Amino acid sequence: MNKFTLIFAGIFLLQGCYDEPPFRPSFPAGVVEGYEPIYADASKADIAFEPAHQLREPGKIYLYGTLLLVNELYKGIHVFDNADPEHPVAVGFLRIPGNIDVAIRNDVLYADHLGDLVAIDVHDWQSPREISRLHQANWNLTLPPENMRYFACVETERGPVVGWRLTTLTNPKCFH
Amino acid sequence: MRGRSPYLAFAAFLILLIAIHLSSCSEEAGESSLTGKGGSLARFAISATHLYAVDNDEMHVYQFMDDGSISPINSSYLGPGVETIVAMGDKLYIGTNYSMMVYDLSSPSNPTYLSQYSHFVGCDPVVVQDTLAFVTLRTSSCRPGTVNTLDVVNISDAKQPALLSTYTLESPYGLGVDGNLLFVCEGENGLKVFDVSDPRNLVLVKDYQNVDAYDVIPRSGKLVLTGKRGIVQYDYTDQNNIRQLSTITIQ
Repeated sequence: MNKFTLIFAGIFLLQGCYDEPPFRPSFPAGVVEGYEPIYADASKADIAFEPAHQLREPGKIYLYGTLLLVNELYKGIHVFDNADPEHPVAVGFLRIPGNIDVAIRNDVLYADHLGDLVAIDVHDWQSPREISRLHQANWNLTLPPENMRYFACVETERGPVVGWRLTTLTNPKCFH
Repeated sequence: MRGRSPYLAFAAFLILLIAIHLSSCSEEAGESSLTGKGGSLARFAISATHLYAVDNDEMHVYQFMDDGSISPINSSYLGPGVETIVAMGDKLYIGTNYSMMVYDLSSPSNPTYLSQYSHFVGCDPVVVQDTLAFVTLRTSSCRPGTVNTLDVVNISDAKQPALLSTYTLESPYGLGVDGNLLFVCEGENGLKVFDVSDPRNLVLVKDYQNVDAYDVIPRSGKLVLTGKRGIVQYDYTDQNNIRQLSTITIQ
């Protein structure tokens, strides 16, 4: 029996040897890499078209006719005129706080905005016009973008969460 | 009895371990003049006539009105852990923590459940071309395991997907397919281009190590790639002479 106990123990130890990130949390977590929520600046939480921004954290990309749309993670959409792919030209930036996903059809842009699914008429990008808004119960960015990560729990009294930042946390209480 | 039960218990334990290891590991919107073309998994997907959104454990179906606004039609319960949805061809692919569910869109306002592939899960990007699904299975922050792969799956029978071939990758992310060329993003390990003329025997055509590749959209001979170093565009009309066109840099 002793021989088997040793082998069982050995296999259990090997089972625990996964690479970072951990796939099972242990609390208290100590000092670990994890996500913390980014809360909205209430004065700039609405949708607006702004002059072109530099790319900082590009997310998903989308092609629509001769336009190239590039999501800026949690911030909005860079709009490029890509008629000549050798020379894409920045047209501007559609600010949509919290945005991750976008689709476009018949000059109407569909995007997530602070937990809502909005439809925005963009036939004139300089003057976007919101035409419908539908709340989604669980889109409020209440969880970080990656699985198997510690994170600082969301404090809803601090406002809507518009994004997540990977940083060093001390004894985070949440894991997903 | 006493002599044999430890062996049986040990054997059963080994089999269980192996089974766990084996089982655990391993986009686009239709192109038309009306709709855009995206390359990634998202929480909503559109067809020419409807929008489908996943919201925790539910799917909401919306109709496009004449002015482009969306109007709710119905909602259905999908199950726990739903993360992503993508519409390709006449099907919806809904990714969860433990599987990819396939829904039929023959009746667009009422997606009908067809089958599940437990082979790959919601955080695994997948693209479909005709009867083939190409999917990258990534271990980092997606699932426990040790092997990152590209899998080619025959889905001509939606209820019986058949794995045709599998290839080891380094750190796969998004992918895109156009005709016989499959573009696979490998994060900081670059971009790989495969010829998929024979789905049982993919041939690596090009391996760009010096780009950071997170997602791609191939369209009509032009490729748009996004990654940590910026948006890079290529011309792939001649697969033996794929050339870079431009870069939009990151500040």
